[in-house]
Amino acid sequence: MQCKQVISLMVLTTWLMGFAGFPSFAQDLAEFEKKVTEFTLDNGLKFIVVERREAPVVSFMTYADVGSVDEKKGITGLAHLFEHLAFKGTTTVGATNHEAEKAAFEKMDQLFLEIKSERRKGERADKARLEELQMQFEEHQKEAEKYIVPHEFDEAIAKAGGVGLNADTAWDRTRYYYSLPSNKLELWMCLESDRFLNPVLREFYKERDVVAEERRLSENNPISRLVEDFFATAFKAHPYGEPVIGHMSDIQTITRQEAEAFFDQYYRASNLTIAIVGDVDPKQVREFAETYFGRLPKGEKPEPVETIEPEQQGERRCSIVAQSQPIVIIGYHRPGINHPDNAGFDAITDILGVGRTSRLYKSMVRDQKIAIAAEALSITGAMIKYPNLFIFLSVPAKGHTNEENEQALYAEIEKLKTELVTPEELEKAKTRTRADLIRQLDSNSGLAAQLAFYEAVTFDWRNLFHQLDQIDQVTAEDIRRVANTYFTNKNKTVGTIVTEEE
Amino acid sequence: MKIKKHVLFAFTLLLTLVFISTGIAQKSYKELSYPKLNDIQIPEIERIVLPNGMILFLLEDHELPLINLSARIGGGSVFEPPEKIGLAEITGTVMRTGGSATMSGEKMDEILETIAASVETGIGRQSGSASMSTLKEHLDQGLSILADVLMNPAFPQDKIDLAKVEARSLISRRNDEPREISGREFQKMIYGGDSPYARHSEYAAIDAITRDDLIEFHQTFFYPNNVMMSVWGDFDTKEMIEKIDTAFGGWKRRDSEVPVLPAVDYQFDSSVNLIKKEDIHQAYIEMGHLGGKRDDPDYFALIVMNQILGGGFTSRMVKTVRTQMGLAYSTWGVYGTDYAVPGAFSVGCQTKAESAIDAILAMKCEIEKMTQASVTDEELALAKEQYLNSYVFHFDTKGEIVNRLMTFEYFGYPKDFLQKTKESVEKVTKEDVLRVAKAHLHPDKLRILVVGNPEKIDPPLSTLGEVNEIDITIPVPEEEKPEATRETLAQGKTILERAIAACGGNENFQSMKTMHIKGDMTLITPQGDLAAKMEASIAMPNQMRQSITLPMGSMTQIYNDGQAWIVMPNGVNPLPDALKEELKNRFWRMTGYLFAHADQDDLTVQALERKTVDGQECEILHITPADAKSLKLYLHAETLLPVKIAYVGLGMQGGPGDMEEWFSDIRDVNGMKTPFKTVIFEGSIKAAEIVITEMAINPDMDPAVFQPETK
Repeated sequence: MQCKQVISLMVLTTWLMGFAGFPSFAQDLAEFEKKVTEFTLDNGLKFIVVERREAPVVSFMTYADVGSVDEKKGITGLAHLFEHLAFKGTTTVGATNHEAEKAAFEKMDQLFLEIKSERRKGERADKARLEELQMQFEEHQKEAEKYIVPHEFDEAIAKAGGVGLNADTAWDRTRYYYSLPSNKLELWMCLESDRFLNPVLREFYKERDVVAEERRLSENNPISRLVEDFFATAFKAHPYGEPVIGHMSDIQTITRQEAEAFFDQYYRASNLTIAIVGDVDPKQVREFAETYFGRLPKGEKPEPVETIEPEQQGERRCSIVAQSQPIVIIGYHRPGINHPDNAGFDAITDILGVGRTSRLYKSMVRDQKIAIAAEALSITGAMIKYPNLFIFLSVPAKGHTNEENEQALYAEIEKLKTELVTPEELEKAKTRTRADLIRQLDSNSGLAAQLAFYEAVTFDWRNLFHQLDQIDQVTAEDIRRVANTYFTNKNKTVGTIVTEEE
Repeated sequence: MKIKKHVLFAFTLLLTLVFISTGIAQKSYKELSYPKLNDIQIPEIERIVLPNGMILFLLEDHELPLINLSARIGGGSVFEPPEKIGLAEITGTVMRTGGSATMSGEKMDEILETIAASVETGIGRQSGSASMSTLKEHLDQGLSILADVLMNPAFPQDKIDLAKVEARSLISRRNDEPREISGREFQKMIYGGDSPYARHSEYAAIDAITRDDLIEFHQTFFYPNNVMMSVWGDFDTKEMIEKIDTAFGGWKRRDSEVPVLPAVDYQFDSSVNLIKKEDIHQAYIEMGHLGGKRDDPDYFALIVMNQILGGGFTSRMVKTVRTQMGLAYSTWGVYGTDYAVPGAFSVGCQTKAESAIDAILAMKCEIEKMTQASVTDEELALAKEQYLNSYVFHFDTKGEIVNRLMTFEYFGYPKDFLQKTKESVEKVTKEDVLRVAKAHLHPDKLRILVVGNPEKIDPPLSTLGEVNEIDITIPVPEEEKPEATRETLAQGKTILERAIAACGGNENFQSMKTMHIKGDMTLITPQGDLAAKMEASIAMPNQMRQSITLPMGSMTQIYNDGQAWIVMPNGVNPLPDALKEELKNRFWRMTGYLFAHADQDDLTVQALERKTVDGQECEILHITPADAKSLKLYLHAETLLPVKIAYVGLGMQGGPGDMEEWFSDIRDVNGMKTPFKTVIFEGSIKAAEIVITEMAINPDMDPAVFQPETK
């Protein structure tokens, strides 16, 4: 009896020591804050600058607080299409004569509307007229192309030694980013401010075709097909149920006017957050920012999505049949990132799904050998701003079924609801969250992404550090309560890939 | 008047001023001038050889309290035996998951994850790898586990089995995604399907790998003078060397050498290859030929050429295929170069099936243009500036700096190879680019691979030349055959003869020429049971037609003397080879057919040890026909009526499955005992049930039923 107590005391001391070995989060933040400068321009555009002089390079992240959730029915995919078009240049970049190309654009847009309305007649459409309209359309397209300086924007960045130039769109947001040698700071200021001041939606119709190919590409992947159906099943009201890439018919019929209206509404200075990390002088960043980005007009921050997903009334299921091996996903509605239970979900993610000591790995992969991977997660960063889904997923091992895997996941979920997690599990989750954060500080571009995300979605970049504080306060009872509150049958959606028999 | 003029002048001045001040902000990016770039700090890296021959590269970095290590070990899967492909990968995995002689893998997981550290091992094609990442204060724990797994892996059987479960599952999933298919098969097309640089594992190879193989593979390649390690992070170099020396002190130098990498054999030629994937809308196109090595003096000009042909958004390939033609979201073109063996020249895109030919011709045209005319001054300048201005990013993390040095030394390149590359790229001219394009690109000798639905590719691929279809069906392994002796073989024949006698006698079975069956079938799926009608016609010795009708439609498979078809509402197609084989094997899985052909000389029948299955004592026969897969027949020990058969066949998920068919409701038909109910299992999972409702022996049969109808 006494012996046992001594052992548990030793164990306790070991992890207390292990814990004390880390700098506390307050120290992390205090140390880090010294390197951070933040300022907001008069037009509402927020900048976060981190001085990191390890190498003469700098990374930029423009976070636009607009994503596919801000689309309406009929224009799904527009947020993403706009992201593509934001590489086509401005009134002064990307064409030799903007006035002339604009005239051609207007003709094309008019013709496209006529083509669209003729096509709507379906079988009764006047084929000869359609052909004629199409021919005229192509003529004006050729006319517009005469003025194009292809890829001028990309080339200017490439020439300057830019790397990692890209952008991405998700339900919650659109991000634009790249890195430059640090002496080219002003180039980024010049190009990026122009990009959101005077954008020209050049090559609009061809880029729509490119996006249509991107959509086909995702359709080839059975998992993307499942995920699309899964979210559509889980969300009946909230736009999280719509695919980011958009529906094919919407992609093919969106007009330039719709894209321009979307830009006017959502790409206002007050809706952008910019993070810059690297070998820069914050004072100079501010001067440049005022000169270049100060030009963006002031405007009200657009309204967020107000639709709230109604409470689910019972289990929902969906499946897709594909020439593919099985996969099972289970989702439960959970609140957004700014809800106090967020930290509890983060702890569950770690305890259930991260590493070889995680519960799902040990039970389903290692011991039962019915899965080759099993995880528990929220889609942080892409679908987290509004109430979203906490997801369990499993990839069945050969010869094992979705059904077996689904039942095994339920067994683990049930355990969370009935038993308390161990102090060791909880401690490990806390330790790892801290270590992961330290590792993230090692990359300019990764850090810029994190800071912009926390600033835009949680209203303060410091929450990147405060999340440690929040996870430190999570108790085993909290986890059991969270599991019982959210992981109910009524609140559940299940999606599977069913193997098509040949 | 004068005053007015003055005022006007002042006004214009003011206007100009205003104009100028906004002019500064709106200045074109072309007019910007930049300060000098802060110096690139190229840190000194400490290189040291330990007494046991291990080579260390160390670089201090005190920004964050982290320490990272990465190691390269000579060897790789190119050296695994061809019948055991997958051995290197499994060895690399189990070294870590299986733990060491003194600490289990689970214990290592526990320790490492508690301190948020990681130790991992792996073995790739051309080298092995190991890594460690830890917070500074946990270095000792991390290092001792790393040393332990490299020197003393235990390779416990349960972790080998776990790695095999994963390996087999990955094989079964390898045809799910078209991108994976095209990538894998293109490599095989260039290097050869059996080449160590492209080959991949199969079920049979995974089954063949034993614990002794792992031990031997580890012993062959893991010794200290075959290991290089780079370490970077928050440490003192001298202290770190001592710690590593101590941790690996017990590891003894060995007098052996890793064999040289096998050579690549390649003949330039052109071909058009198709992999059918009917469930996708796009065609995945990848075409090219063998590439080169980085020690080729042309390498530097090839870097510039690659940049112009297919390097990112500003390349010709993207400008043409994506931007101008709007044919694809992603497209590329790169003359691949590697350190030790030639890379592959690969050009490709994914496009809607109808545009496949357009895209192929457009890409081919871009390759031709590269070899026919000099690039423009602007293109050359852009490519070179892009390379030279982004050079600084080779130095933005400490890890890449030190790892690069290790990689150069591993492959025998000079340590200043990157600096040399930069200097050489600076000197590349338009003439150089044209010269290397002419020398290294062969637009008339391209191997073209398309993954997609040929019915939607219009115009068809045959417009490019003869189309070679590649079958990617995953081969099902032959079941392991028990050791046979003269005695067990003779015993087997006797038992089979007795079974035939018990079931109706040889004469009856021999007189059977045709057979017609109707039945109800239930497919068991995770979504619930699915009822179907089935019908089969058989004519001895090698004709079969079977149909299944589901609520959504019907499907017929026909086998006729080595040929096989599938008939569906939308048409007739030849059956892929693997399914044809499966159908051929099915003859022997009907007890009536088996009994009727038991007298064949080339049929091997071997008696296995009796077993009790489902409460019944059974005789077990291992039966191998000359031209079909073997199976096990279980016979009731007393009545000698069939109880079940077991075989490795096509499972419900397309891959090989351990199948069993249990027989019951045995009735007498024309004097022959025939099971009217069959329950099919895959592993322990019930997959289907068949109940015969009608059976006719020797009915008249129109030979046309064994031909695919053409209507």
